[in-house]
Amino acid sequence: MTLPSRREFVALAGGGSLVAPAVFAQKGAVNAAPITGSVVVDRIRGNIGVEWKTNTVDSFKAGDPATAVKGIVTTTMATMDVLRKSVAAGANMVITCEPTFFAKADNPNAPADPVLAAKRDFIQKNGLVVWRFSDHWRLRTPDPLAQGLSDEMGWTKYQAADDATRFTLPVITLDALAADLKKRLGVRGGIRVVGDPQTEIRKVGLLTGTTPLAASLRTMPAVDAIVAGEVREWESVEYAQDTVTAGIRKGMILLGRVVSEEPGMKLCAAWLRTFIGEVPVTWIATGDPYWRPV
Amino acid sequence: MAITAGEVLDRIKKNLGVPWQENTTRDTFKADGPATEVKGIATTVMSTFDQIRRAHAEGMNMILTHETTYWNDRDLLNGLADDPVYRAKSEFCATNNIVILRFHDNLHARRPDFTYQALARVTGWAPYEEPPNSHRFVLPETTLGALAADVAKRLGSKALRVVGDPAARVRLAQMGVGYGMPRAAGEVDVVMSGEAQETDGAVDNTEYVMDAATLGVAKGQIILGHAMSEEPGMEDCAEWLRSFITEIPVKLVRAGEPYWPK
Repeated sequence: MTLPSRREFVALAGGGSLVAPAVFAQKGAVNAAPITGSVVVDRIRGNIGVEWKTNTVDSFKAGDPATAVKGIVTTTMATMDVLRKSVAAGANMVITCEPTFFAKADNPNAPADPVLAAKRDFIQKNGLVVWRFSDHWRLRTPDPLAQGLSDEMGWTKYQAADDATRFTLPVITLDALAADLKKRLGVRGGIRVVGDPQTEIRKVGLLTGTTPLAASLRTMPAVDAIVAGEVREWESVEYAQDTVTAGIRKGMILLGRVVSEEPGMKLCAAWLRTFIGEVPVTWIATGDPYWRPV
Repeated sequence: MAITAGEVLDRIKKNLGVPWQENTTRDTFKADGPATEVKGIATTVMSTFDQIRRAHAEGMNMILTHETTYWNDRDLLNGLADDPVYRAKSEFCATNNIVILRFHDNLHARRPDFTYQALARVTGWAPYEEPPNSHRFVLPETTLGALAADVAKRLGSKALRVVGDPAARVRLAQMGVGYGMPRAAGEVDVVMSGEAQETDGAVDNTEYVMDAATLGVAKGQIILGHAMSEEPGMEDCAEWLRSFITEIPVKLVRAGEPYWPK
């Protein structure tokens, strides 16, 4: 299986908005042959184009892998809200980029807790299968999380030929760039910005997900603004502040980790549809976890 | 009257009330060293370039910082030599005889811990702490939205972030400071701290509180920002220093919120 090119990837992502569909489209052409959770994962492994790791978080977190899949939902984080919407839409397999049971360990049984128990019981009662897809999805080229965000922002025409994370935009102020990100990504309350709002931005570097200082040190000298998901305050935030104090007119926009990964998981649904034709595959937004008091 | 940075450190050790932990990569000199003659001490939550310049402008050349100077926990300089920001910051320190000492692990080891004590006072939560020094507060019952709005107002925060149902009734709060968030599971209604990994850690409070909200379980998480949660403590630290350093001025150089919200 050959990898789709950047252009094909972009085409796959399609247009559309970040609003999740209420129900699956009822298309008559869906093949009736059963496909299990395990088969879905086998096909992903066959199509991913990167070597499968032995030590990985990409595994089944809940449910029976032998379950006959009726529909697949991709999402950034399999929250209770996303699980309910998945069931309402008729899907029973959820593919999530982030954990389900409130820790990297993703242990559905410990500790005893009413919220965890309610989630586990909901999954069981509705016959859901939850599978995490993070390590390998991020390894694809071009970077699917950056590509998804680029598509959502309408930035693909400004993208560097050899790097899906770098853009040369028509000049825009840091303030206007933050406003545009907020609007197009449907951010509720999470965006935080370092730098003079009137700083003129042309070159942007995307750091989706969570990134260490090294990523900022590598990226900042080549761009006017870093747009990141999650960084540490005593690392990249202080570095961005010091950059500004040194008289270098740059900025840093923090979207939040989940928000930064949403369009990449929307793109994931489009990618899955290229090799899963038996059942509907759709994306459901996790949504910005944060709000601010008024 | 002259006093060296080494003498400042000696007096801190003598007055700390607990044995100074020498086994720390954090609480060491990050610029210049003990022999430097000190004209004034600026305490700060983070020794940003701006804080250093402002301290210098006010005639102070010793920075007692709670957090990092060179953007990583151990203040390692690997790979920074050619970085333009590193060069500007380190050259400013060298040119202006700036001495930087980090005061982190030992500050937190002191009782009471300045950071918790000051944050409880500034938020107005201090009278409700039960039992003392537990960082657990039995607040007058309110909504998560009203509680977060009150905290934001008292701290002067515009960028703090909240997870949970704004209408959730909350009463029992657990406070953290800096990096790391108390566990939202259990009897507690609301947790508050500086900075926490959003997901994929040992305890993912954000997803937990989102799910609690979906299930109608009253839980909340207030994320203040790392510096915002610990800056009040560095003001208390300055006051404490003034009780045994009287030769030279000692004051907090306030950083405020590093972010603006959008």
